[in-house]
Amino acid sequence: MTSLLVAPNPLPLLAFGVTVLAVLATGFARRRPGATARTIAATGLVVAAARSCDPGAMGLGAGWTPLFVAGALPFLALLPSAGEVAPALIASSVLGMAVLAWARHLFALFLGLELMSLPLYLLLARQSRERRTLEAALKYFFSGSLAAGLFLMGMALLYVSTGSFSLDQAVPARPAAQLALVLMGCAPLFKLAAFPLHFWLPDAYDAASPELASFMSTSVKAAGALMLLKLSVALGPDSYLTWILPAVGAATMTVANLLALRQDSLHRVLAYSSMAHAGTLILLAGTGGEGALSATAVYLWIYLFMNAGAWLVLRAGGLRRVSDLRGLSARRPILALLWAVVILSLAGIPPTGGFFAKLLVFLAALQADKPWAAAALALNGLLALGYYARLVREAFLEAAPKEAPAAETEPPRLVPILVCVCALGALWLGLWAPAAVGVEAWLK
Amino acid sequence: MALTLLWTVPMAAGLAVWLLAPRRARRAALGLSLAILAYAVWLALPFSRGEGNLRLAELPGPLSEGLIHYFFAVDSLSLSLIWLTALLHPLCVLAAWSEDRPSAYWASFFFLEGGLFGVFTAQNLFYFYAFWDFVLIPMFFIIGLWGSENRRAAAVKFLLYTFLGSMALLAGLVALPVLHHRMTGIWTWDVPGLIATPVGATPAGRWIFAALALGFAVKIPLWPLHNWLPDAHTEAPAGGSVMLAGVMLKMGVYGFLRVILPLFPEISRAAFPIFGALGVINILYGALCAMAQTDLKRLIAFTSISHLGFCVAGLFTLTPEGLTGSALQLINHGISTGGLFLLVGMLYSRAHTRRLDAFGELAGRAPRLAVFFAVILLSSIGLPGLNGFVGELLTLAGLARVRLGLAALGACGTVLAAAYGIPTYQRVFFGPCAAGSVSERVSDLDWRESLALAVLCAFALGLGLFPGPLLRFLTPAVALW
Repeated sequence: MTSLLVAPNPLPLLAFGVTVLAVLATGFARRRPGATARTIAATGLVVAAARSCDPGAMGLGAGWTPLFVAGALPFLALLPSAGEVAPALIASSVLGMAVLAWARHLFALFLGLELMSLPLYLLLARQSRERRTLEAALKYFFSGSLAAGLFLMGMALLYVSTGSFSLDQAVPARPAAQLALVLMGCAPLFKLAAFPLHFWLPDAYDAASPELASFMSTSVKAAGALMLLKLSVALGPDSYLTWILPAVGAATMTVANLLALRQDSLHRVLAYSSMAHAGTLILLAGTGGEGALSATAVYLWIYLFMNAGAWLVLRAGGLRRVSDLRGLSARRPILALLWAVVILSLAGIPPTGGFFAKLLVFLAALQADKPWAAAALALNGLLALGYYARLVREAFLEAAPKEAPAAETEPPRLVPILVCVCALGALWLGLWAPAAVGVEAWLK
Repeated sequence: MALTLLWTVPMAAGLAVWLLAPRRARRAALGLSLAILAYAVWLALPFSRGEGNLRLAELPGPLSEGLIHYFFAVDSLSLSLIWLTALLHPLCVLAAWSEDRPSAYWASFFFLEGGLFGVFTAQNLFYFYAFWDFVLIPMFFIIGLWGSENRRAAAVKFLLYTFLGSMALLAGLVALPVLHHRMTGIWTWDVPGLIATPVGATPAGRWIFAALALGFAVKIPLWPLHNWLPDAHTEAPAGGSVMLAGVMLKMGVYGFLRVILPLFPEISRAAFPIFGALGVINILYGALCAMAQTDLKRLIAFTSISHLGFCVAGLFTLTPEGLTGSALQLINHGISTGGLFLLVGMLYSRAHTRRLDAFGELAGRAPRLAVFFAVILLSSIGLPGLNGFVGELLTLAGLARVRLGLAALGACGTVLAAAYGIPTYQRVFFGPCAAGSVSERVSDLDWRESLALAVLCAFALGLGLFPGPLLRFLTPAVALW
């Protein structure tokens, strides 16, 4: 398994760090930095990600950074063009994810985790001065701190029982070491909002703007999944995690899908939808093996497009509640069509990418000899369609209300373009990926 | 290439029609659907020259080289269902000429048609399932946007209920290659590749069989999973009901014939008591429910359940009579029930009600409507000389060879069919009619509607009098006994 953690070239990681410093430096300029900070952050991150990807082997390392950066780009692009603080926070959060990707040592892993999380709390708290925003940020902060504490405790316990902090060795089957692994696993499970560690999630996503929520549910979840894979695949291929994770994943999906059925806020519906997808990823991570790795990466790329697309539609239409969707197909037919594409993709209906992603998890679960996991997936596919169908129904089948909900501010010109890119990406991945990706190669 | 064109051309036609102005869209939809019909008929020409059962196979590389690969082919069963789909589509356009928002409406039909062609030609189960699920989307919108009063609830119910079947089906379909790989070390998702190994003989085979059967049974629908069907049919627009009953229900039976029976011959034989009984329950339950209906469309929806019961009971006999009879019954049911839904759609578009007791004395007011209704209804009831009779007789013969008692019960279904069919006809066309009733608004058929029905009646009569050629054509595809 050490082959998964080959030492990557450290230079791109430096590029991420330099980007953060450069963005911060714009704060010293005499004029207000305006769009410069945004541009520098975006350029730096894209260049660093491009330098770090190695098309041959995605493994468990630097190959994941393009995914993190792609998830951050819409958020970065849609920032109001004043101040260098928000771009710097985003860049340092992505730097944290890059550190996670490069980490071959538990301390580096911890460093990456914190570097990724702290800017997120601040980004959330900066959304508005409303009480509920601060409450959400505080909740997010406390639960994140608890996760970090558990991770440190696990690290200490692992050091006591193995005398090493390295990620390159498998954890022995001794109970203390196994417990350490489980404790450390709590940190990514917090980030992925696994049941029962999900209580921060609905409030945080509800308080966040669609762009921030999109960043939190794509890049941050991807980083969480990577961390989980590092712990379960690299550190503990034969550990308790291989049976705890599928169970936690199945429970997460089920709880999330049940809760999503009764929400009126679109933010909360999509929050629970992202929790359900995270549950699927956790289940996938628990099926073990290198197959789970490649499948998770493909899943996350598809998920990036469909999830970001859904959030950006909310931004483009100024939609807040489920009932705001009414008459969308009459008001803005093209936006409604793109909405249908991303929602059907999230629901996993062919020919969209979401279907292929779902199929991969079914295959992985059955190949790992866990038919009950496949049954849970099937049940959850049905439950999830219950609320996705409602989202499509409201947008297409319900008559428009007497007065259309007025969007408070006209969204930037860029938003519709980004929505198009996301929806077409989700569709294209569904048409192209199944034939192009050799699925059976992963299922050893 | 021939089969890739078969499913891509309708999709492209759908996009084209969608972008057209409403007035042009109708004509374009008619023209394009006729062109597709001509193409589907033309497919029979190379068919007559080929060897073996599967024809026109499209493979990028050698068989069984990968899990997901592009493998499409037709056999005579697929081709017959493709013809049925391609035939019903232009008839829907003709018969429902004045549907509102025609661009999007007829575009949905093309997407539906393309998806159905995909289901009937895919030999790789990945593509089979992808098309299987895809057809739900156009049908969801057809019901939800163009249906009658309760269309929204009916569309969502249709989607969720049939998706329940889809999820069971997906779990079963994914388990097949995994099990196959465990037994042989080869990854394949092709039906011919999977048939070559006894996947069904393993202990897990029984669970896979159950999952697949659940998936297909919801689509047919088999009692007690039939609940979505009456609502979906009642609320759907006329054309939607025609495609739903005429073709989409067949997907379930097609799945049994294409996947379950070849892959699980032993389990299927052992499961005859269950599925034979369920089929007969379908026949009787559907017919009894039909007798109790006061809504014309609901009535026909229940007759669908009854007729497809013959198919299921016939399949699981695994006798030549039963299998060919149920394959034939698929086509027959498409023609007769498709015709009935067209007729009721025409009544509804004139009277704006489907209530049985609102009509009366229509025979005098609309003589052409009365004649066509009589022919199609009698074909649906199974009058000898019309198409419905042949399929039912054969399935019952097959059933009688295996279990005489079930055949006797099933035969009661044909009596019940007369018991709901004839009084309905009598009520609508000869019954008393109060002054000012909706019947006074019913005018006779125009030439488009008459043409559509005349075609169907011709097929009903032709297949009833000369079923031989189609039976001989279908037999090699269903020779699983």
